[in-house]
Amino acid sequence: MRAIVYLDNAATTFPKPYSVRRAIDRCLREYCGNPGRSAHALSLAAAKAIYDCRLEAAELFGIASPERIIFTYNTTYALNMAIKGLLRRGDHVLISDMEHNAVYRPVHALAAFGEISYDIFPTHCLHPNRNTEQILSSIANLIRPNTRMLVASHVSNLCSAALPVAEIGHFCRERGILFVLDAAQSAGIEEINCTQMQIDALCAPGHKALYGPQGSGLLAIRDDLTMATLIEGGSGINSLDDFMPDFPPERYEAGTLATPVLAGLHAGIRFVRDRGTESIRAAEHALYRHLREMLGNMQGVTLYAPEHVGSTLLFNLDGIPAPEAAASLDKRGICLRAGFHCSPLGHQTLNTGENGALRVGFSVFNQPNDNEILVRALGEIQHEHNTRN
Amino acid sequence: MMQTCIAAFTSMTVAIGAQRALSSAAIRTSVVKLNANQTTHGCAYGLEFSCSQLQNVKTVLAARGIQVSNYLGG
Repeated sequence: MRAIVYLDNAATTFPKPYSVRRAIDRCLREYCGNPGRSAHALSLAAAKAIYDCRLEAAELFGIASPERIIFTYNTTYALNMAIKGLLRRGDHVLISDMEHNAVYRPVHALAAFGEISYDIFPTHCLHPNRNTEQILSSIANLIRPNTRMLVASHVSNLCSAALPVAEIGHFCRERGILFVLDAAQSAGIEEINCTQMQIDALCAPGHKALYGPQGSGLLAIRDDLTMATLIEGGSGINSLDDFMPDFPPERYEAGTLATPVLAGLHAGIRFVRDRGTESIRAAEHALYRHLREMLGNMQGVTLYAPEHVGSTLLFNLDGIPAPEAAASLDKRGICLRAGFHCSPLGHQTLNTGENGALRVGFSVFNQPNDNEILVRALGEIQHEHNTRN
Repeated sequence: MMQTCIAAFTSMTVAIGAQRALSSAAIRTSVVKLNANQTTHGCAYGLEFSCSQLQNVKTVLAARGIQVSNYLGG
């Protein structure tokens, strides 16, 4: 197999740490009983492995009770649970102009069925002097008497623009508005403390910067919050009742949990905590700055909101459709994502045009050399394109 | 023969959390699935321990804010 330069970590991180692979393998080989369904040795071992993962996630995100960590398949599932489980008919919702379809579509669908209404607040991503006050003021202007929830991405999945989460959390709590945070691009990179930041529901992927396997995600909910259930079924307890239990996490986790996946996620979160989010952030920001400088020195490259330093950089080669450029990079063994990245709102905000853009997403496993290989390949692609035309 | 007591919990998750708390207080327990006559809702779990530790178990779990559905035996 040829060498691959993997720069699609905003979609899913690759490779995974050795500890993650080993944890999954060990679970499958040694103790993968059905968790929470029996008191026999293998079922208990599986249940304890899942509890360990819950505990690790709770500690990472500043949640006092591990029972408040609900495992899901991904962030999208967690967001749907929070949005549909907490909203009531007639509620008004605020979302940002940088939202992923994981937020936009469930909110839009509820509105299309006449259940709720919503407004989109500007994040002023392209404003050179944007500040917290400006963002909060934009939110305040859209609040109605029936505004019950604000759902927003911590960090954009397009361009690294981040929202002032603690300030928004405080703002929402003061007004009795539920704050649901999409941490798809920030969990494992940015500091997130749900208690201190007054986040009512945190939705995070396991398979991105927490370095777990695909099929892992979580929803962390505030202590006194109860949601309606999206799915019902076996929970391993109170089997004679007609309804799901009324306490977390079992209330929200119908059906058998994916023990090997969660064993891997536990190892992934451990990996992040051992390295420290500050150190991870510093390494990825250094890669970002390095690539931004190199792309900035190239002719015919448009960068989108490059002043927002983070782990994700969005750009286009002028005159070359993003999917075409990505296909050419793939032929050279470079994996990154082109198109609209499931974020039409964000692309509209950033004015990326009819083909979307190219997105580089870093992980802790990337090196400056990856940037150099990418930039060299982009130069070749530009040259080929110019020769053809 | 050692007399055993059981602390019953609402869920397996709470039972494991309670077991960890008791373990850190050097109290040995085993997770057990409760019999039908020990629960009114069907499947439920508890921690089995020596009844001589009953008061210690109550103290530790109360201090950690871990809710026990009920205590059986003793």
